[in-house]
Formats: sequence, structure tokens, C-alpha cells
Amino acid sequence: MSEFITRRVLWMVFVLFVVTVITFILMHAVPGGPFSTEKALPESTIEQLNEKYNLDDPLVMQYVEYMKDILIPVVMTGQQQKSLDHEYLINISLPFDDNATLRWVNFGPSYKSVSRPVNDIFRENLPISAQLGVLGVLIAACIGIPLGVIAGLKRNTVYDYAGMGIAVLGVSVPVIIMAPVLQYVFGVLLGWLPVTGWGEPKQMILPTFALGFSQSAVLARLTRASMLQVMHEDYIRTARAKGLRERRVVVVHVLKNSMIPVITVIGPMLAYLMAGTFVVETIFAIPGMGKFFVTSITGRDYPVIMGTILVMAIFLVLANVIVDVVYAWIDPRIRFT
Amino acid sequence: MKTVRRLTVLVLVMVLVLPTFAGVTSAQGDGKSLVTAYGVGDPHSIDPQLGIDQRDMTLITQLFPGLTWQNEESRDVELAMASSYDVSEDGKTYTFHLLEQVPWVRYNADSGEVEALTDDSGAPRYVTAADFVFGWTRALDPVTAAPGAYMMAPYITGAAEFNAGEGSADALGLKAVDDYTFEVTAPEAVGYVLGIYGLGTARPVPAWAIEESGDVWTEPENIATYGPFALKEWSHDESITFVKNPFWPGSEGIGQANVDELTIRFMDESVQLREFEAGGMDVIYAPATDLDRIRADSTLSSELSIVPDLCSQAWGFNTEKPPFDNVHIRRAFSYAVDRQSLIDFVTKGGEIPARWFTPPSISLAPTLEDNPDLGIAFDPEMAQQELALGLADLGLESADDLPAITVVFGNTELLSATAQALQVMWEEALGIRVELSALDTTTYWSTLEEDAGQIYRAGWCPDYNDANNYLRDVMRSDSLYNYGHWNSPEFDQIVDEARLLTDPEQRRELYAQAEQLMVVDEAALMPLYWPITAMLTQPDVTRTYATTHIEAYWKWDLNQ
Amino acid sequence: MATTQVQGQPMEPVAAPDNVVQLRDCEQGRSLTADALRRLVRNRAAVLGAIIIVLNVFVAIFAPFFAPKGYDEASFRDNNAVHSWMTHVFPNMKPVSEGGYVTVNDDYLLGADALGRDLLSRIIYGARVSLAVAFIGPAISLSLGLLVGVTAGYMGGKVDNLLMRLVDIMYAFPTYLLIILLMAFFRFAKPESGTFAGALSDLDAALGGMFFIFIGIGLTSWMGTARLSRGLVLCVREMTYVEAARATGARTGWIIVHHILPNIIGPLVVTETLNIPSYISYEAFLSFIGLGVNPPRPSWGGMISEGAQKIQTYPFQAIFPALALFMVMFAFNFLGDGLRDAVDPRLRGVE
Repeated sequence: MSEFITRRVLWMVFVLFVVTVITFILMHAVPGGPFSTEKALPESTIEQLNEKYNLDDPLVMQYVEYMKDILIPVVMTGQQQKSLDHEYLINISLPFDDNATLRWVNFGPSYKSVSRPVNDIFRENLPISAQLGVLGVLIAACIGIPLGVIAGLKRNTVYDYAGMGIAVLGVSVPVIIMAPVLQYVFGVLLGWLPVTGWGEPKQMILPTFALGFSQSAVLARLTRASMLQVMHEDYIRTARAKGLRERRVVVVHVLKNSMIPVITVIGPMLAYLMAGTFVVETIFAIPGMGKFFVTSITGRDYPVIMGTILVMAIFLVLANVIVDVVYAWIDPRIRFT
Repeated sequence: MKTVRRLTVLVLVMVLVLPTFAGVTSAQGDGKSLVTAYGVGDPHSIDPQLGIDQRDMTLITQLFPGLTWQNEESRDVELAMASSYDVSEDGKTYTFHLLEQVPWVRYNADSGEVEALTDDSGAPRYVTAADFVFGWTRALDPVTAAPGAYMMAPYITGAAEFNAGEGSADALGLKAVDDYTFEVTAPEAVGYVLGIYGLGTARPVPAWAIEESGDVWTEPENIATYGPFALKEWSHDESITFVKNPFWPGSEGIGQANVDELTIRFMDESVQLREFEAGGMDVIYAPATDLDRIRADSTLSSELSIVPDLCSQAWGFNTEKPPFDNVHIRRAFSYAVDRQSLIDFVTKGGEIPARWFTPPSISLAPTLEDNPDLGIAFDPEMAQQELALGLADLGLESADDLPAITVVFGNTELLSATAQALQVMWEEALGIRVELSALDTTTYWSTLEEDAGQIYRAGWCPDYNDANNYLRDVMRSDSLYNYGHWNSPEFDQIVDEARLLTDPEQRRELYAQAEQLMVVDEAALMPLYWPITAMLTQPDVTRTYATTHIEAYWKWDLNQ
Repeated sequence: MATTQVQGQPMEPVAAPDNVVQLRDCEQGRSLTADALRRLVRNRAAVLGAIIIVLNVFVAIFAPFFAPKGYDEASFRDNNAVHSWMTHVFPNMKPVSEGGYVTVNDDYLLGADALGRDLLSRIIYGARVSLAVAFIGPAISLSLGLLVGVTAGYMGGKVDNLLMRLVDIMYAFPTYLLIILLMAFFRFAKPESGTFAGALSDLDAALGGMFFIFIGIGLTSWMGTARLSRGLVLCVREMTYVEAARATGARTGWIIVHHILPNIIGPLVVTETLNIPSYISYEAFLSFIGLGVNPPRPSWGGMISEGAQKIQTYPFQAIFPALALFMVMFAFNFLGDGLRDAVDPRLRGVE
């Protein structure tokens, strides 16, 4: 197993490397640059800006510089000038000198918001997206799993159709519609909840519901399918045959066993949602990271594009590895290949 | 049962992953505070030399007032950091006498107070002429790469060379005569230069603060400002919060702030409206899509303000691409656009149909009262005639033989609606079906400079209040913004002459000629309408209504 | 070895991961037999779903016959007009005559949009985009996913490892960048007709700009299918009948076509059906961020995201296309669930 994990981690590094290269090439191939604005800047100003950000270097050099700033830790001593160049995500004080620090991981500055390092986005916006994502998945689970269980237990009855209907409703009503309606009803008409923002528990209710409801169908459907499968497994029949009470059979055996696939799905779902969701964040004016996936690309903010895609890639690859491992761990029938 | 136990562990782990979130309640003081909104996404910068758009300039002006201020309603140039000025006889040298003893300040998050800053010896730091020289030199320094430098450069001796990396900073026509006397020399005498000297890029900045904090000096803990407001908080991409700066003495153009705190949020317009209706915001931009309802609603309509602004919506023809290399075809397309319908049924804000490019409220632009016959307007018959002439010129039988016409545009809601409306109008009036092609906005902008499409969008908002900014700066044959490569020596000559004349009436006359040449005789541009700014203001707020997109937040007040 | 699928929409997980079929069931065989079809037909919800879909396809194909007006027939004067019945359903939309702001015009059964175009007609024409996406999405996903998944699963070893890492890379691929790049190339640069690029450009123009949505879906959809089909191949490969065929010296291609594909196609079809709603909402999302079809061509996603901007003022402009979308999503969901139940061998004879 440890060999399996080592190999997967090595592959993971390779995958991330390729993702950064592809992203880097693509983003420079796309027409327009960070300084293409609605009101064009003179050629000479663009040249000056390119020089300032080293965008006039050969692409390979730019890539190497960029990766160097992220990967190679540096030790800094003495009084440090405040600067975006010295903006590292990890700062460890070293014991041998008062001012010496080991600094690691610098994702560079944002070209669009000039006094802001990309690291700031990870420090300030990513945690908000992560909160939103985790709460969203919790809500999705709270809505989706019970609906799936009911639908599974009462297959092809009104309960089944109604339960799945509610879940599918969530996935079928676009968040672009659901979110404004929620805002209007609970914020404007009733005045119970704030319309926008993030931070106070009250502000979290509408966005997490909008997000969770839209994801609940996946879990509901999966739970239902899994319940149906497990209920016809031999050991359940055996349990029934032994004369166990139906309630106990359902709770102890069916429910627990049918949660396995559900949990393996929640992992990647979390990975996606924690990295941020554009629509929900835009409509509820939540300062999360999801917006940056789109705005960095439309604005050609190169370091932000690289940073966000890299984080997304890490989340996804990790989620896939973890799922593989967890899946094998839960279900001993699966071999590590 | 092992599986079950493992599952339980997993669930537990997942629940523990849930981050603990503490409720952050923003404590509101007893003072007056306002919440407004401006645009989506983070501002580029609040560093005067690095700001780009009108929102950046709005924020910069609250913190770093310029020598002059263009009144947001009357558009007159007023004095701000300058208390008076003298002009040399040749009109090229301006000597500004600055407000004295205006301290550099910073908001102290621990004490919750705005504090005047002192130097190492404890002496107060005041805004001086040296700060102006530093700021202006920094703006022109190619290393700074200031987006607004090119606008200042023609009006300061030696600036163009210095900005191009050839001259030296010492040769610039900038001089700190004494602490509070700042002298600027221009290579030519132009009438509107006071407005230029008040541009957002032309502001003083604290050399010592920039020295200390480098490129992060505009963050609240590092910044030093002196205007009516000080920077309290900047949650990037979310909001900026200003507090009143009690040390700002106030001047003719820029008075002291009336409110104690002002928050500017960056969010989607339709979301702003819902937040406004829920009572969460004091002043917002009214989304054009909801104007019908706002006007009919008894409460909202009383809170709605619509003021014409200084921008202009137009589309241009690429005069190098067939069929628009033919002037008759260009005219036919321009005559075929029913501007009034576009305004009444599509944009809906009560905009003014544009007969020419420069909005009449721009200084020295032709006005509708004095020039009833100037410019172009919807005329389907003329459109047909011009089309026939054009086809004859090209030796074509019918409009079907024209080369295919594709309108490429940046995919925003307004432009998409405009393009679709124009498509219908052209089909109705000329029987020509153009293809539409939506691009992502940045791609579109970047293609404009290299290779504009047959028809391109040519909207403009002014940098300073003079017709020169619309005509010479945009449409002269060598202008960066003349994307259609329209080349008219006659036009160039008129606008060059008008720029340096001192008699306003003569200049006004010439600009009217230039407009007629550009939009009718040569039909290089197709003016559409002069837009408006629509805002909603809660009844307990008193404010001014900027026509310049640069708000005077210090004038806003909350009636309690 | 897990077969968890993540529907690859890095930025907008509309209906993200779905793990409908468990690998451990492969040995029992799940295929689209006549038996399964019979069971499907008995499932009322699934049948209803199928009927709705067929009707929609019919309407979309013959849109000019069903639509009262052309999708780009604009009468500016009637912008945002509503039919009189709508003023009763949406109480905030009071007609001008009653002091409200809404123009009433009974020519438009479902009202008119901001440029005075018949909303019903636009919804009918808009079905073309959504349904094209609904069928082309799975087509791309299945063809690419099967190719990669079967190759990886059957070849095993290094090939398998490489292909699966390719899948990992594609999960994090910056799809929007590529869409924007291709759009700039095909929509703006307009390559010469006659070349391959020119043909693609013409194709996009003919499709009203749908081409890029297909590309986007293609790029984000096939990885789950590849993982799933690889997993299925891995265990089918060891089955006795495959071993037997191999022992008799059958060629690889023959084995794949005759023994492997028939045994894995069932679960794949089921999964794809269940993924269709997420393809459809992907189109809506692309429209929302401005990468949708070319105007004036309507698409439900485009209409919804445009209408959502003014949902308080003219709610019908978002709600009617959303209802259409909702109906089709609902149909595909129930059809997908029904299909899965039908091919699940454990459920045989349950009823």
C-alpha cells in the first residue's frame, strides 16, 4: 500500500507539472494580455508594463522564473523591504538569526489588482470558498441522503417519485434563477436574511442552501441506487432470514453499507466546491475564490490564472488519490494496482 | 463490521474538517456611515500613478486630491490642492500656490482614529511642492509604467522624451519653488491645461512611504494620504472602506467629508438593486434592465436619478475593409440606424440620440441648440439613396453582391443587445443581413488595435473636459483609438488648428466643422447616443450627481 | 481500484460526481437486453421522461412549423410585452393601464423579450441548442472515453498508467482558456474557406456558435467515462469467455468488439444518460460567462442567464426558458434512473 501511495504521489507531481505547462502555454496563446483594456494603452506604456512584469522575456524563461518562485525556498536575512517579491505563503523563522526567515511559495503579484499578491487570494478568498463548499456539501448530504433512502426503501411508490422529484428539482433549477429568487423572497420581501455578503452565520444560509440544494440530486440518486443494490445482497437476505427486525436490517446493514459509494463521491464533490463556485459567489457577492477562475481568464491576469488552476489541480488530484485509497481501504475486495 | 467502523471514522473526520467559522460583526460607530457600490471586481490600484479607469480615479481623488478638480456636476475646473495659481505671459508656465500644512495621514486600526504622520524626528509631514514633483516625475518615469502618463506628457516640457526613456528627470518642466509653490512649464499654451494638471495620474505621493513599503504601499497599514477621506480597509475584490480625515482643511473644489465612514462595494448591478431594496445600501447604480419597473414603482421612482454623462456611444467603420472603404456605404449604414428607437426600446435610460460624436456637454463641443442641422440622424430614404450610390460606385447590381459583413463585438449585455438591434435595423432599412460574432471582451479589445473588424464599437469617455479629447485624441489619423484607420488630412488640420487657438468661439466653430466632416461627409463613425448615469439613492441621503463618473463622496451626507 | 467519476467541470460543478455503477458488479453482467427494455417500459416515470424527450426533439427539429414567429423577428415596440394571462400569474407585472410598467400584447403567448421577439418561438428554437448538447455531449464523451478507457484497460501496464495520468491532467485542464482561444481563432480570424480550419469555422457559423460549447463539453466530459470504462474492461478482461477467445487466437480488435464492448456498454449508457443534465447546464453556464452561442440565435442557457438579470422586473423571461430546461432535465433524470434500474441484474424480478 505504501508503495502504491508513493507511486501515486510521484505521478501526481508529474500531472501537476504538465498542467502548469499546458496552462502557461495556453494562456499566453490566447489573444490579448493583462493590459488589454477597454480603453487601449499606448504601445509604449504596454512595453513598459511588460518590462516591469518581465513579460518581454522568452516564455521558457518566464515559466522557469515563475516555477522557481513557487518551488525554491529562500532564506532571507536582515531587515526586509516590504514588497510583493517578498510575499511568500510559508514563512518560518530560523533560530540562528533574529531576522532570518525561510520563505517558500510565492505565486507572484496580480496584474489586475496591482498591490495584491496571488498568495492573498489563497489566504483570504480560498478559506471562504472552502467554508461555502463544506457547508454546501453538508446541506447537499442532509437533503440528498434522506431523500435517497426514502426513495430506495419505497421503490416505485409515490415516496420514491416525490423524493427523487425534489432532488431533481434542485439540480434542474439553475442556480442563476434560484439564487436571485431566494434573495428576493427572504431578503427583500420578508427581510429575514441578508441579501449578500459572507461572514455572519445569517449571511451563510441562502448561499449554502442554493449550492447544497443544487448538489443534492447527485447524492440522492446515488443513495437510492446504492440502497437498492445493497438490499439485494446476499448478506441482507441472510440477515432477514435470520429473523432480524426489518428496521434493524435497514439501519444497521443496508444504510451503512450503501453509504460507501456515497462517501467516495462526496470527496471529489468537496474538492470541486471548496475551490469555489462562480455563480453562487457572484450572485451573493461572496469574496470567494470561485470568481477568479473566470475573471482571471477573462482579464488575462496570468499569475492568478496559474495560481487558481494549480490549486484546483492539486485539489482534484488529491481527491482522486484519496478516493482510490479510501475506497480500497473500505472495500477490501479491491486490490491496489 | 470492520467496514462499518471505518466508515464511522471517515464520517467523523469529515465533520471535523468543517472549519470553525466565527461570526464577524462589523461594529458600526455612532457616526454617519454610507454604503454604496461602484463596479465589479477589484479596482486596479489606488496608487495615483497606477490607476487606470474612472473608478480608480474616483477612489484616488478621495485620498489624494489634485491641484484642480473638475466639478462633478457643473464640470467647471475648480481649485483643490492649489489655493491659487499664476500664469506666465506666454501662457506656458503655471505657478500653483498649494494649501499649506495639509498633513499626510493614516488610519490607525488599533485606536480607530485617523492620525497625522510625523517623520523620524517627530516633525509633522505636510504635503509639499516636492511631493508634487516626486509624484509627477514618478508618473512620467518609464519604470513606473503609469497608464495615464501619455495624457500628461504633452503638457509638460521634456515629459514626452523622459517617458520614452530618452530624456532625464531633471529636464522636466517641474519645479518646487518652495514648500508650497509648485511650478509647471508646458511646451505649448493650451486653454484646457488646468484640467490636465488635475488628472488622476498627476497627484502628489509620499516618497518616504513608497520607499518604505514598495509596491504594497497602498495597503491600509502602509498608505499615507491627505484628502477628505482616509483608507480604513480594503477587502480586495469585495469592498473599500473610507473614514473621514479630520485633518483635511477643505478647499474650493474639495471640501471636508460630511460622513464619518463610507464603504464602496464591488458587485453585480442586479444584485446591488436587490440589496438596495432590502435596505442594505444607500446609493447604487440602477441596472438598465430594471428601469421600467423602477420608473413605475412609487418608492423607487422617487429615488431614481438620471443624469446625462460625458460619454458617447458610437460604432466605427473600418475604412480599409470593403465594403466600408466606400463612403456611400458607410453613410447608408449610418442613416439606417434609428437612434430614437434604440433608446426608447433597447437602452431605455432616456439617453440622447447622438447626431455627432462629442457630447454637447463637453466643453466647446457643438450644442444641439446652436447646430440644429449638424450631424446625422435616422433617414431611411437617404440610406437607400446612399446605398444605391455606393452600389453604383462599386459596380454591383444589388446589395446581395456586397461582401459579407460581420459585426464582431465584445460580449457584454449592452453591446450584444445593441448589435442585435442594429442587425434588425440594417436589414429593415437596407435589406442587408449582417452576421454577428460575439467574442470574449479582452480578445475583442486586443483585436481592435491590430485589426479592427468591418464595424467596430467606438465608445468613448473623456479624460478631460474639452472637445479636443474626443476629436483630436480619438480620431486624428495617427491616433491609437482611430481603429478604423480613417485618414482625412482635412480633419487632422482642423483639429490641430483648433487645439492651439485661444478664442473659444473659434474653436467651437472648428469642432463643429470637424464633426460634420467625420460623421456625415466622410461617415467614419456612426454616432448612436449620448448615455446617461442612472442611480438610486435612499431618501435620507443628500448628494451630488456626478456626470463625470468621478463621484465627490465628500459631498454626500446622511440626514439623521 | 475505484471507478468514482467526477463530471469534469472544474469551475462549475453543476451536478458533479456521479458514481452510478459499481465496479464490483461487473461480473454479473449488465447489458441492454430485451429483458432490460421490458423492465424499462414498465417504469412509468422513465417512460414519461422518454416521451417528453422525443416530443422535444420533434419540436426542435420542426421548430419552423411550431414556432409562431422567427427567432430573430424583432418588433422593438413590443419589447418585454406580455400576454394578458401573465399579468395574473405574476402579480408584480402590472400593465401600464393599471399604473404598472408592462405592455400587454396578446400576440405573444409567452410574452416577448427585450428586443420584442416572441419568447415562445425563441424557446422552441432554443431547444435545438440544448438538445444538441444533450446528444452530442454523450457522443463525444462516449467515443473519446471508450477509446481511452478500453485501450488503457485492455493494454494495461505502462499504456494504462500513461492514459490514466492523461485523464488526471484533463480534469484540471483550463477549458475556458482553450474555448476563448478557439473562439478568437475561428470567430475573429476567420480562416480561409476550403482548409480544415475554414471548414470548422464555417461549421461554427452554421451552428450559430454552438461548436465551442461542444468543444467545451468534449474536453470536460470524457474523463469520467474513460475511468469507468477502464474499470469495467479490467474485470471483463478476466472473464472466462474472454480468456477462451484469446486462447483460440482471436484478434484483439475482434475480442474488444465482440466480447468486451457488449458487456460494458450498458452501465456506460446509463451513466451518460444521467450526465446529460449536467451537459445541458454547462451550456447555461458558458452563456452566463459570455462564451455561449452567437446572438441572435437563442439557447435556453443564454435566455435564462439574460433573463435572470431582470428577474424581478420581467420574471417570465427567465422563468419560461427555465421551465423548458427543467422539463427536459427532469425527463433525462428519470429516464436515466429508469435505465439504471432496468439494467441492474439485482432488481430482476423484484416487481
